[in-house]
Amino acid sequence: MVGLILLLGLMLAACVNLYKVEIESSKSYLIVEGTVSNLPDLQVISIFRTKTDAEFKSSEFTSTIVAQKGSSEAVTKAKVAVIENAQARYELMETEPGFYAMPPSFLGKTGNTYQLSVETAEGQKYLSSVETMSPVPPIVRIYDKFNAKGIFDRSTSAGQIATNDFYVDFQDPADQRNFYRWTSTTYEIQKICATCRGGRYYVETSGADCRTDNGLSVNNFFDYECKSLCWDIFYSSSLDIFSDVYTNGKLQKDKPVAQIPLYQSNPALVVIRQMSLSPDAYRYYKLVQDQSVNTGSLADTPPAPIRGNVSNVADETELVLGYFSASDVAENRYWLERKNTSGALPNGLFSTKNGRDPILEQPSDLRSIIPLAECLPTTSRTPNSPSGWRF
Amino acid sequence: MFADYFPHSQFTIRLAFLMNKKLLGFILLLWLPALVRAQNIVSIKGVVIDSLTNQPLAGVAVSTNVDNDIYGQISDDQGHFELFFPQGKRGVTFKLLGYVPRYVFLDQNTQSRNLSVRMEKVENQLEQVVVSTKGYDETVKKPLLGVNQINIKTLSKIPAAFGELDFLRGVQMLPGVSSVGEASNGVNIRGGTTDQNLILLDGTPIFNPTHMFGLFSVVPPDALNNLDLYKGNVPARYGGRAAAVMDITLKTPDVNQFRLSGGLGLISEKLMVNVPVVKEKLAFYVAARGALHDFLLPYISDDLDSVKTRFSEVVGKVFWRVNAKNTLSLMGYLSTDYFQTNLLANLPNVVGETTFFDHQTQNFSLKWVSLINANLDWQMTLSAANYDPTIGTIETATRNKVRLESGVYQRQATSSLNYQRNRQKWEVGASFTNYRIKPGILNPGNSQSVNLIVIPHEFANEMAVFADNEISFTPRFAATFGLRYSFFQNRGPTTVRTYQPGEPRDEFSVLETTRYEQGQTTKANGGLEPRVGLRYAPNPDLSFKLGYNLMRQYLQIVSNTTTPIPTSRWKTSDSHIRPQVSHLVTGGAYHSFDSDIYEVTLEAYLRQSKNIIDYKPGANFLLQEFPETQLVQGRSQSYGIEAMLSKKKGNFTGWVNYTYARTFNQTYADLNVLERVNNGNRYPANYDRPHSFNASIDLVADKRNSFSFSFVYSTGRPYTQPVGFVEYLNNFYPYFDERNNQRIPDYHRFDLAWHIKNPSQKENQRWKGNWSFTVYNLYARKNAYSVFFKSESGVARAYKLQIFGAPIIALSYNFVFE
Repeated sequence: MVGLILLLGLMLAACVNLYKVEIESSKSYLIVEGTVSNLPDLQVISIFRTKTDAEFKSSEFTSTIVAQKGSSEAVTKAKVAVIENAQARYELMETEPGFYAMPPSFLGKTGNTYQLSVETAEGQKYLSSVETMSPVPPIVRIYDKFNAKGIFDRSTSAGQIATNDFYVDFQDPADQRNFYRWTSTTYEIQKICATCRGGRYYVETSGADCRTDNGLSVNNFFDYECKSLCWDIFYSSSLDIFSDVYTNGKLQKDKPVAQIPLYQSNPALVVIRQMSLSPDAYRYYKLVQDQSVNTGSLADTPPAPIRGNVSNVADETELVLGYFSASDVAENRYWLERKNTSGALPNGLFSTKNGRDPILEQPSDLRSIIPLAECLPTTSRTPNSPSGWRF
Repeated sequence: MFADYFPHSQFTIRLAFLMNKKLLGFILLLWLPALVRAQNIVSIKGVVIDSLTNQPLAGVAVSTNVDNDIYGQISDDQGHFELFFPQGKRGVTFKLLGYVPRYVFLDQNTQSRNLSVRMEKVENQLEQVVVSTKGYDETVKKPLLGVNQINIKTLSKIPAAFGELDFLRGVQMLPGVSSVGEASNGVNIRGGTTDQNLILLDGTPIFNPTHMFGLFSVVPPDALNNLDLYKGNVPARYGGRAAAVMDITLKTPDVNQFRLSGGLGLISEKLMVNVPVVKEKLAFYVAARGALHDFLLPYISDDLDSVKTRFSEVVGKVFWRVNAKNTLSLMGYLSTDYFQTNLLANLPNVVGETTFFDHQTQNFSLKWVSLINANLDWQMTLSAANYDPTIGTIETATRNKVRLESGVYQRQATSSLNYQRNRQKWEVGASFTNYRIKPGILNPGNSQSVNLIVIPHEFANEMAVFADNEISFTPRFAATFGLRYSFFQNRGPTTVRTYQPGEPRDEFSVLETTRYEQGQTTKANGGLEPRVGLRYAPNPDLSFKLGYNLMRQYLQIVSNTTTPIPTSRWKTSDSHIRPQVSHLVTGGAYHSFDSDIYEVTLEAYLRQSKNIIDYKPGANFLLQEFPETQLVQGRSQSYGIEAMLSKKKGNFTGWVNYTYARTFNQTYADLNVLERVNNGNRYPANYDRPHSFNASIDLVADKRNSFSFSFVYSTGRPYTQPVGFVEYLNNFYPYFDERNNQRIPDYHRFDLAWHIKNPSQKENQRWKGNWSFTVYNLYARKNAYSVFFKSESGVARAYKLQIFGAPIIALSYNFVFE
């Protein structure tokens, strides 16, 4: 056979480009979200309402659509309760606007059923479906592997960052249908607790904060070391779920459950939670995943409204977002030594995140002693050593 | 003899039509001489061959005019014809699309004689022929509407993405044919879904018409002979799909000449060999094509490192002229595909990192044609079609392949009688089809983690009887009448659930479960399918047509993706899934001018379908024993106007067309509120593209060089844009409301091809080589295939996916040795 191929250009690779959108919401939706579990944690249900006139726009340079202040507002002063086995009633306390906490003494139990009841200040009544807390098997084996290519993490200055990938083995019980979800929480040592732009940090009896200094440029940064041990907390944003529909009763091996970014070479504490889901909760999360994570294939499933399990008692057609679930949790607190990694710096969390080394204020004529900053507890920072931390 | 009585029956139809008693008597008188003369019948018989290749020509319309009465016949696979007509001074016309018409004149006293007619290809005269919207021949005056017969020569001139003839891309240049985009696994014809098209390869159904996820159409192009696209009137012999028919015929093996042809392209190679075994009696050919170059992909781009894709296919055909009256042909088509990419969703709930697809097709047919007499022939076709798609995952540690295997198996027997005389043509027949569907078997291989899961097979039978009648009442007025009766049985062994009426069908609403054993019918469906086409031609250059079609579909794809993927599930109608029924009304006007060089056509249609398939949010059909729990049914409405201007002869040929088409779907109102799609409101279908414009031009520069250009424009297809975003679960997620509420950017593209014929310039040599240089997407338009939203570490982003973002330049070489 005589022939010749001349290949001048071929772009079989389907390419993906950013696409600009401008979306204006015209309807308002209630978002109810929360999980009750068997862990002695503070268990919180959040209730918000999206605003009708919220605008969502791709940003100019990064084309990201980010949460905007005021795109949803907290639903406050609602009467929120969780009903256990259709008998016991736990009233929830509003701790912050829109956040309602279970009584600290509450501990969920596998086999029990839970139902959320919400009555807004305006008198609208919402009920969730009855969720059964099904048992979850323990994690049989957990290990991590260094992944030099890693993931794209927009919270860092570089973007692409190496990770430690976590895998678990677990024995699926044969006598039941099981649905799983995995979450991870990472505690990283943070050395820098405050940054002042165009100012300096002062500690006073009334509190500690940055104070503007007119002698400094607005682009001047001073960073302040922590007064005490301080941990930054990172929650996984990925949605990892699994059903035993094809694997019932089998030992599952090497299930990837988390990718922990290599922010610094210091060891970190990684809390991996293996949680049970009800069939409906699994279906719900699967839809969320299909519509916003597993997208971009050659044959996507066209998205559709996702109905959660909370509904308006008076009007079944009202679309309520979010899901109230009850999960049994098997937790593994993993000491990630990061000996298998390369390319990260000790105490590098600050510089990885901010794209610059900390600029410590030097003693000067103004003040010879530079104050240390408070490690203020928030949802993403704590001065209390997490259980399982090795000193 | 039946034939002798026939003019009378024709006469009575004419009588009813005219309804004028005075005129009737007059016509009766006029007819008498014809009846008398008809007794002195002569015949001419012989063979029609290509003037250059000496290949017999099938499908040549041989006709003569006797007092405004047309006597016609079509030459058979081996170019043979035999035409009977009253003796007299006659001109016999030989016409075939793509060939210069020939005339043979006979004088008053001509006796029956044998003829060998050589026809010259139009292109050998430096003329081109484009797609014809008429039947094989104008004189046959087909009253069918919306029929496009596409000469494979025409298709091969259309610039293709990889320099390769591609019938699915070719038909998209015609009005009323569209797709969701470049990676679509099929086409949408007049508002139908891809699985509503019946694609036949020599009478056997093709369940997946593409390779490499839409990049190539199936079948080695060298073996293709002809493609008939029925998008309006569909003859009653076709059935089982609700929208359109693409009838692809393969070449008949040449019983006289050895021929080797082949080609090298950017992605694939092909080779075809035709071997005459016994001259004039027995011949076969084998044509193969393969694309096995995927090892080159990583050199082109790092992004292609994870892509593995290859396919190979072979088609073979044996033709045996048993005797002067009987012919047998045997066809076999085999193909296999492998596709591994990160661009497709993985097999969920099996732990593994790489996803792959593979699928195999095996089609066979045996056709026996027996000529009973000059006007009557009998055909019998036995066919089998197997389609076996698999989606799989490769387990990380062990590299073991976990496979989800599925399959569709169809066996069919069709028999028909064709009667042709004067101004009438009849086809009556019956067919029996047996379906077996393997919905899915999860084959764990050596996996320790995955269970073997087997979903029971589905069994069904479809029976049909049909009759088609084509008749010209007067030279101006002609009609086709078709009637099909189809009957479908879903059969055991199977388990059928009954659900609480008015409640969503799920595990909780099951009332009872009934077991059916082998041979028991679980549900039967059936009905008449009338097909009518009328044609009125006030003058030879102008005609008006009107048509009505009813089609029933019992086998369909249930899928929840924008375009079916190779592994999408086929499902028969059953106790819960009602058969799809589609009504189509079409009207058209056709005008040709400048001695048939130009043709203008205008067609309009309205289509109503019921029981179309839609899926509930979150539907999953993989290994689902009761798919009715995942889907809902509804109705669909499409309408459109198609206008086309073509220049059919000369050095400069081509066409431009414009289509306005809409398709809307709506789920049934009696569904539970939670099951309705789009709250029960109607919404545009995924492939609803209101405006499209296509232009295709072929320019012959000289004996060796020709150029083709094509331009395509269409409105972007709908997608679902979120109505807002919410922050929860540590991420930022979109939420959706109305389905298909926005459109992706409009699609347009310009392609060109340069064909160089036989560059060595020597005439009459046995080796002929042709080069084709094609540029697809010349001005590098980054056409969006889809727009989608992704939530990534706390932010959301909108993306568009492009299949071809750059011009694709390809050079291919094709040769013939004979």
